Amino acid sequence: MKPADLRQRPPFFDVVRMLMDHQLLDADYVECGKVDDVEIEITDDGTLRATAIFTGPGAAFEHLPGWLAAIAKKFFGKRSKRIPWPEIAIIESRIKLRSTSEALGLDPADRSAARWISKLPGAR
Amino acid sequence: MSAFLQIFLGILTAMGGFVEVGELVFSVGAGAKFGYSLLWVVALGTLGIILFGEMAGRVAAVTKQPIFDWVRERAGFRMGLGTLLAANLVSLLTCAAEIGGISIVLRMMSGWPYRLLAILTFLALLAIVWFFAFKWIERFFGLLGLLMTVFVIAAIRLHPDWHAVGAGFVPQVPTLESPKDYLVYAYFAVSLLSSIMLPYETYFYASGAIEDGWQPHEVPMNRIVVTMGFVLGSALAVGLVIVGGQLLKPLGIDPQWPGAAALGPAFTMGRAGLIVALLGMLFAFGGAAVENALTGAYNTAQFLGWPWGKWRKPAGAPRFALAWIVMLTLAVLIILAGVNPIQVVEYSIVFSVLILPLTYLPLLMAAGDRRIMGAYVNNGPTKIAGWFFLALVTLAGLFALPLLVVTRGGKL
Repeated sequence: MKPADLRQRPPFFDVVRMLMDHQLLDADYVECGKVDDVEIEITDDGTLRATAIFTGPGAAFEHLPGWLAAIAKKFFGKRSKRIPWPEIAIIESRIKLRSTSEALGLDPADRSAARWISKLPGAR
Repeated sequence: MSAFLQIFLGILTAMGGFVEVGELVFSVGAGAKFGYSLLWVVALGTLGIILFGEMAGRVAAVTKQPIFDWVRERAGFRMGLGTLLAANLVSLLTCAAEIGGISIVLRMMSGWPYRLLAILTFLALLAIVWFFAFKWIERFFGLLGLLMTVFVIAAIRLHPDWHAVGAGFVPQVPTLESPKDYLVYAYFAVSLLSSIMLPYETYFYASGAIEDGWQPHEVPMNRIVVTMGFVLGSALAVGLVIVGGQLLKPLGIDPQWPGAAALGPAFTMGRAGLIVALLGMLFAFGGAAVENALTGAYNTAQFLGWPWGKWRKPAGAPRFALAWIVMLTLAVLIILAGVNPIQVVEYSIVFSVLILPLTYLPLLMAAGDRRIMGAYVNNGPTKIAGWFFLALVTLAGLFALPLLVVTRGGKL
């Protein structure tokens, strides 16, 4: 297929430009990570379909060279979370999700840091 | 608050926050070594920072996205991570240099031990950022940093040859004694440009615009605040160059310490002038230390997608709060380790110019993209000027490190 024909195939969705590395917002519009990877499946008719996104250091480190990824995972962990496609509410410059980050199990480090920091005067 | 008062406060804050320890050292040093012949670099750097500062504020007001959001989206995780680490290293060095500068000034005022003063400075800055709201941090340091205007008064009282001062604004390479003097001149030109166009200024300005909740209709106000604030701020830098050229050069003083600049106000206004100058430095350096610590936290949180912002209490953005605490802590540890703060200033300035192109390219691309910016997209002249300055800082970046090594930090 020529490039010109590709553009005519609806619906066209540029995963890299419109999804990868964009900010995630939870149901309360609180930042809850970036889109670190996208899961794509090939349907029976041969078309590609995005089925989920991944967020978390484990998924992000996959984009680093092998040796660096191994070191980074050792220090910062391999945690990554799969978010099924139906969980996505709005795709704009930021990606809005339907649930809160707590319900989705995102950002546990933020919650444990918040518990610790809340004990200090003036933190709330 | 009325729009007029808001603009007035914005201008004063931008002006008061313009000068930090690196700019002070290089401005006075430039004057002491080369008279007024580097003033054109101050003017050029001011034009550059106005251009990119305005762009950063405009992109933030229109898109609500700060710079490291753009870096991540445009460059991806791998390339973006390199930019993040480089930018944060420079902010850390700058923050350390400011804490070192404050400790030097406090030692001049009190005679107390340098390391103890560094720890007290750290604790004071920690408390200010923890307890104060963003707006008050900005105004506190910005408005008290206006005490630095004492250097402009000192420059006027030194009765410089205004014709020669004016001639300094014309781009030039003066006739110097030896080839090594030309290298030192080039080193000072690159460092002065870098110290005025420090990358943290645009990161902080864009994040600050989002903290303050700017809307697209405030774009014209942003333009006035940036232009007026930075032009008046650069008047402080010009004052410092004149103090160096008029007072220190004839005496053969090579100002290696920030305190040497205070000789200008002390010479022209006596004890009162000296005290105001030292206080002005304290608040100007303090503001820059806080801005750099916050910039490191802004960059990290925006790149990794954490909740961020001083408008949230620390418990609402805990990793952001920890990030600026870590920045301040590492900065004071660098000073406590006994590293010469002036050397830290030199390295922070030179490494800054190395990452300037990485900072300005994504900003220039975002501000020039009509799909993102709509009616607020860069116009023709802004685009041309933007690419010109990008080429200029790239060129300066290529020469910065070799010049630092060859001239041994301008001490050849």
